[in-house]
Amino acid sequence: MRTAARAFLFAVALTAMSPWASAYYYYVFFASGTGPYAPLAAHFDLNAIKDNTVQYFISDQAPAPLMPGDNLTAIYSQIRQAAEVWNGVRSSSLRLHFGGTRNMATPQTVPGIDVVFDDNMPPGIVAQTTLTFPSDLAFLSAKGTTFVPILRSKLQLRKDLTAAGYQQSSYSDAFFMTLVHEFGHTLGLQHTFTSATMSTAITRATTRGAPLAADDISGISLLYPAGGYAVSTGSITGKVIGAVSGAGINMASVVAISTSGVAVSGITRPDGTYEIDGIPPDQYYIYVHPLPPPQAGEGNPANIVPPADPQKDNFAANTGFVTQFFPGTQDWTQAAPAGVGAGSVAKDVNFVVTPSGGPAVYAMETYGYPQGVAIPSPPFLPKSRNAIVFYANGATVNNQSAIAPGLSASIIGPTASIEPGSLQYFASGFLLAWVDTADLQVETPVALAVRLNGDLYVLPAAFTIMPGGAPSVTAVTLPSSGSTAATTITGKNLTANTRILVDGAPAHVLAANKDGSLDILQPAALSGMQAVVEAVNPDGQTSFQSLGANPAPLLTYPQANAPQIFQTPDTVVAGTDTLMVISGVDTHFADGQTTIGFGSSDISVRGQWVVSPTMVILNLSVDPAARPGPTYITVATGLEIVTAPNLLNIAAADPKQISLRVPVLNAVTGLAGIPAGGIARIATAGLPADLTGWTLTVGPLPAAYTADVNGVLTVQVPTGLGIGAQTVQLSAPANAALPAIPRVMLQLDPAPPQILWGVDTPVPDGGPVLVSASNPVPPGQSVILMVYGLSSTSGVLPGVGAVWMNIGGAIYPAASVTRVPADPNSTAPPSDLAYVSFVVPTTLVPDPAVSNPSVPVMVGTGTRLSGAYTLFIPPALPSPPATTP
Amino acid sequence: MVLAVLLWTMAKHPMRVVAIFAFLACAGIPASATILQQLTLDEMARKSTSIVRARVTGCSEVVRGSDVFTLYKFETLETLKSGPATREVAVPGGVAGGMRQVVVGAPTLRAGREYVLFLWTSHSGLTQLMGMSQGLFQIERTTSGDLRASRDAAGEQMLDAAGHAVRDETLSMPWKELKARVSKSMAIAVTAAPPPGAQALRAGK
Repeated sequence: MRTAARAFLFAVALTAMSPWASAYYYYVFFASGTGPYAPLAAHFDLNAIKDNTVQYFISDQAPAPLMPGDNLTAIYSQIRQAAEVWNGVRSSSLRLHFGGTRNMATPQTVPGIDVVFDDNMPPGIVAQTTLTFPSDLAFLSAKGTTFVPILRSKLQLRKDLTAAGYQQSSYSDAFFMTLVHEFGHTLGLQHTFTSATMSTAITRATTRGAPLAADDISGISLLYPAGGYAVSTGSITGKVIGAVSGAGINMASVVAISTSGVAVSGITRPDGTYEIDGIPPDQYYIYVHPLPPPQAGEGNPANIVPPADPQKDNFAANTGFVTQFFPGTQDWTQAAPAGVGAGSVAKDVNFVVTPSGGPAVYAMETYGYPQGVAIPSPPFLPKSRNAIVFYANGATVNNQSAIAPGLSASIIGPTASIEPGSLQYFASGFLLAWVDTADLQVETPVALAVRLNGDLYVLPAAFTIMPGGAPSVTAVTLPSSGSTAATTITGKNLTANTRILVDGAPAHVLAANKDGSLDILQPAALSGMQAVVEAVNPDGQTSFQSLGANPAPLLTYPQANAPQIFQTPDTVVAGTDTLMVISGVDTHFADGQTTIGFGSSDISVRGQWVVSPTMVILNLSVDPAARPGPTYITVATGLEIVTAPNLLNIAAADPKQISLRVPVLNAVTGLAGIPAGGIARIATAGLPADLTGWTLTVGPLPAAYTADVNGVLTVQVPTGLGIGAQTVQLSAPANAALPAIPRVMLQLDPAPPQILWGVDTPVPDGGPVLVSASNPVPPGQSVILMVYGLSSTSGVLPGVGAVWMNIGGAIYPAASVTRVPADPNSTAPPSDLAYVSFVVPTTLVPDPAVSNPSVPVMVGTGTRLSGAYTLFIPPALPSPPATTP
Repeated sequence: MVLAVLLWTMAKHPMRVVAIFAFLACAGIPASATILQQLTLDEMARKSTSIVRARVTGCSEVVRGSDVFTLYKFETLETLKSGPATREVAVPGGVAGGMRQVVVGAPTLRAGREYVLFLWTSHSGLTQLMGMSQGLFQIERTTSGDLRASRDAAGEQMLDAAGHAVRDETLSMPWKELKARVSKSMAIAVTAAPPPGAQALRAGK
């Protein structure tokens, strides 16, 4: 673990991200206790990790005993899939990588996340998450400091998973969602009140099928922004002050909620100001509510850790005020919604709040019975009548036997309504109301507002209107031994878009059959494994939500040999980059499914090529401060998780050691793929200035190169090499008496895609018109490009998620990618032509001095990037004439 | 229809309705940074290694392994259950050893305040609170001068012994009552389990 001094140097010396104006539910720090309050959020330092990737590890002290029928592989699979949820946020630049099993006693230099199983917790605690920051906060006031680094996070579960209070099998949705939530904390997210995954207590409405809500996505995307996120979303700013004191209200929660079910929130600063960023464009009602008051023994309401500063000032939350909608009403029908557009700020959404002793109603949970069993935050069909039951602190009286007098409830927005007079006491402290839903075509969370004694409570996702039914799995049919048929999943509401999870690991859906069943290719697994099968639909519904007490469907894998792994080389040197070959026996390595970890934050996988089911080649970087000694190798392919302890040795750094640095980059595009005949750039470490007699090869062929004063090599990649991974070897003269320089891999790509032409849309009646100076495309409009050579070497056209646009140097998503239909009258094989469409960003501002403004556009996929296409946009409008006084 | 069934069920089988709602609670278990197992007062009394009424006198922070703990020193005013001699209780989180650690849900004790502490001392000798904030009751004097022990519902996610989500409840009672209940729990713990039928007899009294 780092010392405070090293942590201090590390935190200050590295490039920072822009200051957070709205670190609303992060771990927040201030440089001082007096204003202006510029929140500094805690997050992983992306400059301290490779490729924006934080590694997470699972302790080599495995949990035991386990629930009957559960197994370690299943548990590890669920942990990995929970981490993958956060990897799925494309607007976040942070990635999580499974670093495998590790010995938690080995000190690490590079930040990471540890998942441990440890019963060294008092009875009554089932799991806890710990974040570690630098102790000395003096650096907060240093110029240029914009964040506080998370040095390490630990997610601690009990070792005995059968212990009272935690008798959950790993396949349960609850176990999975707990892990997703805890991973959110490890990354720097605190609690919110928007029915999101990071919501507190019992108000969460997310499911395994839809595990992140808008607030979660906004939170992680603003903490680790990828390009383009900020300009695609909007903001709301304002201030919350006390009606009596006139002072700013600290740590009030402000929520923007749309009638389409999106809820994004922020928390005020000590002066009462707030800014909610990352709001998808829409119309929003905005309300302010206090955090639930602190409990006995809790220093902080809602267990939200308040801001800290070097002077240890007190930033306690003000929880004594009444909830209200903007502008100053508790009746949402009287509230004034604010329009939020991409890149816009809705300002001065201010509140003057009335003091109170505490919330009249809080911590609401809802249930419905759409499938005959109780489901929390239930799904209701459109145009249907449903009973919804809910429990909330304060909603009942007389020892929870009667509804609180004067309590009323309403649905926010037009998507549903409560039948007049239907609100009533039900049983066991629960209230009941009959709800009629509107005829909707898309899944829509619905908010419930409850009023009592002059106070208001809002639950952003009391239920969700779901047009589709929940999936179910009634049978899992494996092919007979020796058959090449697929495994068949039988059930209801299964479509080609249904995900089939096998102990959490996704199966590949091969076909959606006419009888409603799915043919799948299950993930690789260990011999004889019995795995639980779950169906998950895109609307968030899962086959487990109505499982009740029924047993979960199982898939039993056939007996097979136990897989083994070996690696070359046996030793890596601290401070070097190197290739590594992992060989397997009875393994099933697969591209896109195999993950390899080395049990150390100090060893990073920088590139991976799956050559065959029994061979993977990697590029590794070993941190200079990596602790010498043995370490684990873990290879995970679906449910086939193989861990080899002490297989790899880390040797201490050698001052004479020279290293090539990975990834090897394309000198033109800056990406990690170079076409044959292209120019590669390779950074090095420790290279001498005189390279007389030094040779460099790419694959088996010699390559011409030059070196600059910084040791960066510019390499002419030879032609005649096969597409894919090629070794790069730099060799010193025989008499140089230097340690051998580890080889690395480069990615040899096919030729880059080419943009042939572009047309704007909509297409006029006369037919498409090419984009040109005389036909510029205004921002906000779509363009369709004809692109040649986008497919992979196997002829597969990448999906829209694998294609991006580089527009004026900024990255934007492609809107669609479709293959140009083959000429039916031609016998020639279809050309590799595709239509790629995108939306011209609204943030493009033409230079008024240029008469025909344009911006370069490139299309990229994987490590390939096209040349620039010139996109003409309309010139700037002339400035209005100055008025004469 | 569902309501009719439920209402009929409630009328005929009230315990079944309770079971339904226990099931409701387990149908979807939300997540929280710290997940607690709900401990009854009886369980806390039995599982604690010691129980004291104490006044916090100060605090310091230490590193144990890779974890930081805040050690609250206390002056014992009354002992309900004797255990390993200790005058401090460790709460996870704090600033020490070059690290600042945050554990969401960790309680904060105030110097000068009185508490009832349900303590658990591990094999390593570190003494912590039972169930995070569950083992912490505030002691306050009422207007009549009597002592009252209270603990509000925990904000963290809670599970019962079977892993079902439950809502925590506020506990507040006169200090004497808490003492009596703890004593009774400990007395039950040391007596043998009654033979079948005896419990029903006692319940009928």
